[in-house]
Amino acid sequence: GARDQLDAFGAGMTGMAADFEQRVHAPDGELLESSSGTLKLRAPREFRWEVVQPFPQVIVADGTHVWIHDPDLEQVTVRIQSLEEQGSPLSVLVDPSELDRQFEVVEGVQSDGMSWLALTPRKPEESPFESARLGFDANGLVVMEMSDGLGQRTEVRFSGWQRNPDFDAGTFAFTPPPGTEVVGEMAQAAEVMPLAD
Amino acid sequence: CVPATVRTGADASLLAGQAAHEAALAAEPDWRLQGRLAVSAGGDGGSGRIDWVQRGDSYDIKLSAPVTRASWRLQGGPAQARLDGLDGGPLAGPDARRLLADATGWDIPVQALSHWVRGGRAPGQAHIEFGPDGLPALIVQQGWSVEYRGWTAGPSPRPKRVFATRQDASVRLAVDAWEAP
Repeated sequence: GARDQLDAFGAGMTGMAADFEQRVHAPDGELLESSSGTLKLRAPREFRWEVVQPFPQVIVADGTHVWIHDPDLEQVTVRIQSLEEQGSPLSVLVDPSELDRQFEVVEGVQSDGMSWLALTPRKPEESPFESARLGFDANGLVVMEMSDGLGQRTEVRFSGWQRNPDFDAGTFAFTPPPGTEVVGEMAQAAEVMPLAD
Repeated sequence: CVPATVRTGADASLLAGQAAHEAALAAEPDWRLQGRLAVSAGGDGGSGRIDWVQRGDSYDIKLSAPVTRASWRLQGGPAQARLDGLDGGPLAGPDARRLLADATGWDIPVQALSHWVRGGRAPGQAHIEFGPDGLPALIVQQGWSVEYRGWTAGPSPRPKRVFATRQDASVRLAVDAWEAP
C-alpha cells in the first residue's frame, strides 16, 4: 500500500530533487494560484523550494533557519527551523521516521491509479494545515495535497524525481542579497572560539 | 535595477490628472487584486499570497503563507471587522487595523491602503509627487510614505508594486493580477 511505497520511496535516499506544479483552490473550487518550480531535499533537515513561475520566490531550510525570500518585495523572512519543522509534510519526505511522530497516518484507498496516505497533524494547534494527503504511484510520490484553516486546498504535483543527486555547493545555504530587508527571528549564533594559530 | 524615478512636485496639470485618475477609481468601487504581501514591523514580520476583494467600503482580504499555507482572512467594512483562520478562532472588532495588529503584530492600514493600492490618495491631507510618466511616484499620508514602483500599461493604469513605510513598519505589495471581483 501507500505506506510501503513511502518507505520504499525514502529507502536509501539521503537527498532528492523534483519539479513541482502547485495549484491553490478556494473552498468553492475556484483556482486562486498556480505556480511551478523546483524542490530539493537533503536528509536530515535541509530543503530548497524555489518558485520560478509566475514570480520568483525561494524558501531555504539550512538546518538551523528557514529563509523565505521574495525578491519582488525585497524582503526575507527568517524563522528558527525547529519551529517551522512541523509546518510542512515535506519534512516527512526527508525523514520518514518523522511521519508517525508528527502525523496520524491512515492508508487511503486506491484511486485514479494512485495509493494515498492521509495525514492528520498530531498537534493541530501547531500545524497550519488541517489535513494532508500524499499520493504515490509505481515510481514514487506524485501528489501532496493540503487543506488549510480557510478551507483552501493546495495541490502540489511532483515530476522528474532524482534520487541522491549531487547538489551544488550552497544549494541549502542562504545569504540575503544587499538591500534586502530581513525580518523574523534568528537563533543566537553559537559562540565560535577561533582556534589558536 | 529600478531606474531612479525623477520626482516632480505636484503642478496643476499633474494634480488635475491625478484628480481624474481618482474620479475614475471612485467610479469603479468594486475590484480584486491577487499578488504577494510582505509586512515588517520592528524586526518581525512575514509574507504570503494575498487575495483582496473590495466592494465599495467593504473588504475581504485572504493571506496564505507559502509552503505551510498558514492563512488568515480579514473581512469587514468601515465600522466592523472579522479575522478568521488564526489559532483561537475568529476575532471581531470595530477596527480592522487594530484587530490584525493585536492578533498578528502586523500593522496594515487597511482603509487607507484600499485607496493607495490603486494609486489614489486616501481622503484627507496628502503630499504627492509624480514620476516622469505623470503617474504618482510617492504619496505621503497619515504618516505613511507610499512608493509606487511600476504600473500596468493601458488607459487605466494600476500599480505593480507598492512599498509603504512608516517609521520601522513597512507593508509591501507586488500585484500579479487586477480583476473585477
